[in-house]
Amino acid sequence: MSSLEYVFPQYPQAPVSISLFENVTNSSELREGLLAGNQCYNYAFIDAANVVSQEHLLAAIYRAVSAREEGEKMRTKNISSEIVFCMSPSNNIMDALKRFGISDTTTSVVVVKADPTHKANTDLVTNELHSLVRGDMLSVNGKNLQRFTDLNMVKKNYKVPGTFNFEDRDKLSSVVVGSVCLRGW
Amino acid sequence: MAENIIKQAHAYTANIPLALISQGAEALVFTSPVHPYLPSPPTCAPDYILKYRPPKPYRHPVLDAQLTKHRTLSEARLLHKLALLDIPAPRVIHVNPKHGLLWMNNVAGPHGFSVKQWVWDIELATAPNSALRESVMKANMLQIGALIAKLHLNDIVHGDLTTSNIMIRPKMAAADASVPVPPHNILNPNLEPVLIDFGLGSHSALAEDKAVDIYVLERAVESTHPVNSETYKTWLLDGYVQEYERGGKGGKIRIKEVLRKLDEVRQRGRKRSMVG
Amino acid sequence: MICYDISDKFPAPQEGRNYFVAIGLEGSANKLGVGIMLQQLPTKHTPVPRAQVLCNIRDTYITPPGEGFLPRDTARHHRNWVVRLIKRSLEESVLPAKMSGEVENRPIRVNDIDCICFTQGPGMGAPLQSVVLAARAISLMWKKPLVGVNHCIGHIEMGREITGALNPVVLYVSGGNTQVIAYSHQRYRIFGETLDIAVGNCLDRFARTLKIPNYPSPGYNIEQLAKNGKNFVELPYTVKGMDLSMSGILAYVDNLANEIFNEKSNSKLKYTTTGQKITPEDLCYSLQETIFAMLVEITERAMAHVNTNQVLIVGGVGCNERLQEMMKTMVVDRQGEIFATDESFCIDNGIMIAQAGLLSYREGITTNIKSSVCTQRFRTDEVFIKWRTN
Repeated sequence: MSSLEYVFPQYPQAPVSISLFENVTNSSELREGLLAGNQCYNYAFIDAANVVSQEHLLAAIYRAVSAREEGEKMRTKNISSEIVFCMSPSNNIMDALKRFGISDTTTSVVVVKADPTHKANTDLVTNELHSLVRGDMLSVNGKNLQRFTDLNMVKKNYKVPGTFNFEDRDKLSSVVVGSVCLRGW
Repeated sequence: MAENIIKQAHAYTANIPLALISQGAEALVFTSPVHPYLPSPPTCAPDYILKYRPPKPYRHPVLDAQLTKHRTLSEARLLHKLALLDIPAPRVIHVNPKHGLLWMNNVAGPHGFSVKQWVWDIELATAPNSALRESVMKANMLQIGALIAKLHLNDIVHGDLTTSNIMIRPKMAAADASVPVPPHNILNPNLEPVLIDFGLGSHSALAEDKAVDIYVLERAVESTHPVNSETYKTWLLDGYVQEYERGGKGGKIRIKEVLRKLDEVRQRGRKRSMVG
Repeated sequence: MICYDISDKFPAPQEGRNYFVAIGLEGSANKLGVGIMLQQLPTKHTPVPRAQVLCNIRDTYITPPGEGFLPRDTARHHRNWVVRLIKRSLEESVLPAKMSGEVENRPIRVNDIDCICFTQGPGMGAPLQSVVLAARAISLMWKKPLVGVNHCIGHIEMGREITGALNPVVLYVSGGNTQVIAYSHQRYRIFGETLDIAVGNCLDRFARTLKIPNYPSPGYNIEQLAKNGKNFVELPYTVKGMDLSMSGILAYVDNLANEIFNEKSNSKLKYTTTGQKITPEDLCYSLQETIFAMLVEITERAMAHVNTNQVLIVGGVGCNERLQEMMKTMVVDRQGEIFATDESFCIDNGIMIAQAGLLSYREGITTNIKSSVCTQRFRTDEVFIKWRTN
C-alpha cells in the first residue's frame, strides 16, 4: 500500500500526497507532536470519521491548495493546518482543527502532504508516514474513504438536519461539499 | 468583447477544457468534461458546468466587484439550501465569488434535456390529443408542478421559470456504475424534472412572489408552446396544487392565498399600475 | 378606460395637399410644451419622408430650491401660459413654400392644422386637466378633431423619428416614469420597470434634500455636482429580475445626507473607509453610479431577452451624459448601437405629442370630445400601435 499522489488539473506544479490509515494506535502521540510544532509532523491529519466521500476530502484540499496557488492569504499558519481548516463549515479555526483534525480517540486518519517545497516523491512520503503513524495503510480510493464515516459526527459537525436522508451517500456528499465551499463567505 | 471574457474564463481554469453553451446578459455558462478536483474518467461527457459572471466595465469598479461577489455567492447559497432540502437542482462543486465563478454538476446528464425541447420532441412524435401523448406527458407535467410547489413550500422562489430552465431526465438508477443507463427514448414516461439557473432566485414567504413565479412560467409556456399551452398549464398547475394540498392543513390554506394572488397577477400582467 | 373613435377610412390631407400638420400640447408634469409637426405623404422619390418640426416651444414651471412642484400650482402655471404658447407657436411656425406650393414661406395658419393632439396621460391630474381643457377649447373653436396621446408613446415615437432607430429596446426614464420597452405585435411592451418611484423622481427628491436649485432642472444640477464627486459610497442596489426599486436607495441616501449636514452627528457613515469626510458631491456621484448601473443592467437584460442590440434612451433623465456614457459602454461591448436625443426632445415637449398624435390620426384614430378625459394612469402597453406592422 502506498500514498496516492494526486494532481489537480489546474495546478500540475503542486501535487499532493494523500494517505489513509486504519487501526491507528498512536493518535495521542501524533496530536502532541503536531501541537508541539514538530517539523516531522508537517502533514494535514484529518480524522477519517469526518470524511463522507472522496469528493468531500478533495473539495477541502482543493480549496486550500487553490487559494495558495492563486496567491491568496492563508487563514492559518501553514498549508497543512489550512487543509484541516477547510474541512470545516465554520470560520472558527481552533474549533475546526479540534473537530476535524486528529484527536486522542481517532482510529482512522487521512494524511495529506501539500508542501510545495517537498519534492513530490510518493515513496519518500510513504516511508516517512509508516514511521510516524502506527496503523495499517489502505489504498486511497472512493470506497475506502467512505468506510470510516461516522454519520452522527458528520451530522453534528456540519449541522445537517435530522430529516435528511443520511443513507444516500451521494446526497450527503453534495451537502458537505457545499458547506466546505461556502465556509467563510 | 466576448472573446476577452472567454479568455479570462480560460485563464481562471488553466488546463480545464471549457465549451461555451450560453451567453446571457449577466453570465457565461460553460460545460466541461473535467472536474476541478475529482479524477475525471476519460469520457467526453460534459458533466460539469462553470458559470462565470464577468466584470461589467460600465459599472463603478467597487460596485461591480460587490455585485459579482454577492450574486455568485447568493446563487451558490441557494443551491446549497436546495441540496439540504433534497430538491433536484445542480449541486455546488466549487465557488469563487471574488472572480464570479461557480462550478456545479450538469444535471441534464447524458440523456437529459430541457422541458422546452422535450415538449417539442413529443409533439413531433405523437398525434395531438392522443392517449399516447397524454400518457407520456401528463404524469411528468404533474411532477414538474409538484417540484415547483416543493420549492415554494420551502419559501424559495426561482425568479426565472421558463421551460428552458427546467430539465428533465430519466430517473436515476441507484448510484451504481454497473447498471447501464437506459437508451434515449423520448417516449419514456419515467422521467424526473430538475430545476436549473437560480441566478435570479431568492428566499420569499410572500404568496405574491410565488404567484409571479408561476405566472412567468405560464407566459413562457404560452409563448414557446402556443398550440397546447392551455393543457400544459392546467397539468402544471394541478401538480402544483396537489403537492401543496399534500402538505396538510398548512398547505391547504397557503395554496388558496397563492392562487388568489395568481389571479390578481394574471389580471394585471405582473406589472403594477402606473402612476404617471 | 381610454376610448378612441377609429374610422375605417384613412383621412386625406386638406385641399389636395401632400402633407399633414398637427399641433401637440403637453403638460403632464411641470413642463408646458406646444409643438407643430408636419408629416409629408410618402412619394416614389421619398418613400419614408422625415417629419418636419415647424415649432417646438416650452415653458417650465420652476419652484424654489428645496421645493417640489405641486399639482395645483403647476396647473395654474399651465393655464397662465397655454394661450400665449399656442399663439406664439402659430406665429413662429413657418410653412415652407416648397411644401405649400405658394410663392413664399409663411406662418402656419389655424386652417393648416389637421388635428389637435394632447397628452391624455399618464401624469399629474390637475396639470393634465388644464391642457385638456385648452385642447378641447381650440378643437371646438377651430373645428378640428382631437387626438389623445399617451405621453410615453410620444417619447418613443419622437425618439424613433429623430434618431432613425428601427427597432431598439427603449429606456424611458423621466421624473414620472422608468420603463424598459420593446415593440412586439403592435404594442410597446414593458419588459422592466420601477416597482415604486421613477429615476427622475428619486433624483429630484434628493436634490430637494440637498437644497439644490431647480433651475434649469434638479437632475441637471445633480449631474454637475456628481462630476466633482471623488469617493464612491456604497448604496443599496435593488434590481429585482427585470424590474428595479428606488425608494430604498432614496431613503438611504437621504438619511446619509442628513447625517452629513448634522454637525452634531458622529455617525461612522459620514466617513469613507479611509477616513475622509463624505461630501454632497460624493453622494450625487454615488447615487448616479448606482441607479444608472441598475438602468443599464435591466436594459441589457431586455436586449438579451428580445435579441436586439439597439438601445434608444428617451425621457428627461435621458439628457444625463453620464447615463448615456454608461449605456454606450454596455451597448458597444455588445457590438450594438445607442441612440439618444437632445434636450429639446428628451425633456417633455409638445412636438412629440404632435408626432405620435399625427401617426394615430393618419390611421383614422381620433378622440371624441366626450371621451377626451385625461387619466393619471395610462400604461404604455395599453395603446394599440396601429401604424407599425410586424
